[in-house]
Amino acid sequence: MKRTYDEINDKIKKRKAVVLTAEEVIELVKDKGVKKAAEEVDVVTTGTFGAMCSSGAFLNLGHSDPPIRMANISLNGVQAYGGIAAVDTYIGATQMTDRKGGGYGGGHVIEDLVAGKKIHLVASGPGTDCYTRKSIETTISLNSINDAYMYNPRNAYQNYTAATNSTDKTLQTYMGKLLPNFRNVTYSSSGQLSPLLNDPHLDTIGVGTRIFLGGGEGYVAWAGTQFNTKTPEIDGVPIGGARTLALIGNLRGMEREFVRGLDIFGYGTSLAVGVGVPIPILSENVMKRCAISDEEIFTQIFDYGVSSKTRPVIGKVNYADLRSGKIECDGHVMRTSSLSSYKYARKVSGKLKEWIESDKFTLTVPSIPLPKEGTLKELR
Amino acid sequence: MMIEKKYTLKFSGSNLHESVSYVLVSKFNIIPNVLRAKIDGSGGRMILSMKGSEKDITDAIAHLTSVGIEVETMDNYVKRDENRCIDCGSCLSLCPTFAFELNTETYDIMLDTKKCVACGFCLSACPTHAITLKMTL
Repeated sequence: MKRTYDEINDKIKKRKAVVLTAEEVIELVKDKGVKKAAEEVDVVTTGTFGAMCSSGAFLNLGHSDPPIRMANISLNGVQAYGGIAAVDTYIGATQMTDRKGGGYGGGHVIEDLVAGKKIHLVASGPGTDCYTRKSIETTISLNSINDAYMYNPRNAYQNYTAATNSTDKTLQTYMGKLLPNFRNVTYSSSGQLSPLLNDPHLDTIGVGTRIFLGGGEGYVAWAGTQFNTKTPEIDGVPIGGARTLALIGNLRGMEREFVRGLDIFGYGTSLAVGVGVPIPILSENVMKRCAISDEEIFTQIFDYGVSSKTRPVIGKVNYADLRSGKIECDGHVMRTSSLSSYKYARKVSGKLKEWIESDKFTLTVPSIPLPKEGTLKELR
Repeated sequence: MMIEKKYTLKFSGSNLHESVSYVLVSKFNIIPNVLRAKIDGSGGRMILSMKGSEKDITDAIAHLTSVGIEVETMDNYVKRDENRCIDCGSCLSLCPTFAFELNTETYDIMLDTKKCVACGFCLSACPTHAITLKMTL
């Protein structure tokens, strides 16, 4: 069985494309087998919705009269980058408010922009012959500024480690609240719905792939940072953090429901982004990969009680067990918490499915594939 | 029939010497379980679970009230803002009384406020500040 992007897009335009979510397709393949399923289904939609710290947005705030070259920029009390052209800036998800009490950061500024709320802008600059103004304080919103697009250097991690804590103290980590003495485990991947776990070697996902991003339309811009192909695999699927995507998309058109500021106690702020990637069923092999279920996806549990880059591994576990609420590993009975929302991952894959079925979204052919090789270097 | 209910008991400076557990066991046939308590010289509060027949529990409450302890049914002490909650599940493994539960059909995080003892442990685990407590001890 072979199918082309053109054939799929033709069917989408005629509203005849058969689209299933990565969850729905599991049953179909179990019932009918890979060959029959590949013949029947044109596109499989994936989804994930969780903390993606390496996220942010480029904004062009517009020029005032007289104009200012902004060097220090603050949005709702959160510092934005002032090292690019006069009124361009980048607001990053983990930048935290200067205000006492915290609990608000760049991720929340982005959520508020998407929600259409007013944002308090304070900026200052050196004052030059061409940009005479030295300071400005005003209010902006998504509609009042020239440009606003999300650019996330590392999103949609292909799998991620699970975390536990061997010490006798509660730890507040970016993997959530970890109870003492191995009492709980936290994990983050959407498993069987996760974009990069349904196309583990990126046979179909490349630069230029059109995607669901934050409730609007986005694109794969590049390989994500820390793109790693050396993670150990089980049946061709990585058992820890591996490949990543750099994503881009217009903030206008996104929905607050899928762009949410997070405050991870003891760590800082972040942004939960809804990401959904459509996978064209170009061959039986692509379909076989899309049929992967939580039982077949594994991750390793690391001890975050040890503060080292090479934390000890407590054991290996699959996502079906993690989602059951309780696991037993290495003699410890541990309760489990997901940090990403499976309910919203479902919503993302479902929305993307609706868009394709109703001809609101067609598939793009990648301009170039993502790297076949990627390794991580250590900072010495 | 045995039932189990939770109450908050409010003590004042003048009745904090009253024995609660012993009297509930010996006179009212109640199985008491003190879930939380914060009481000092000027009084304080206790979260108490009582297991027994409906009549025994009613009689026990009447007794506690007669010695000046204010008794209130413990319910809805934790509140979740549905506009903020993203149903991630960060709270699931932290709740000592299993008040949060994952619905494995819909993947909603269900909250049973009757199980809550207002410990507040989930508050700092919620990345969207969706959970608030109506009462602290």
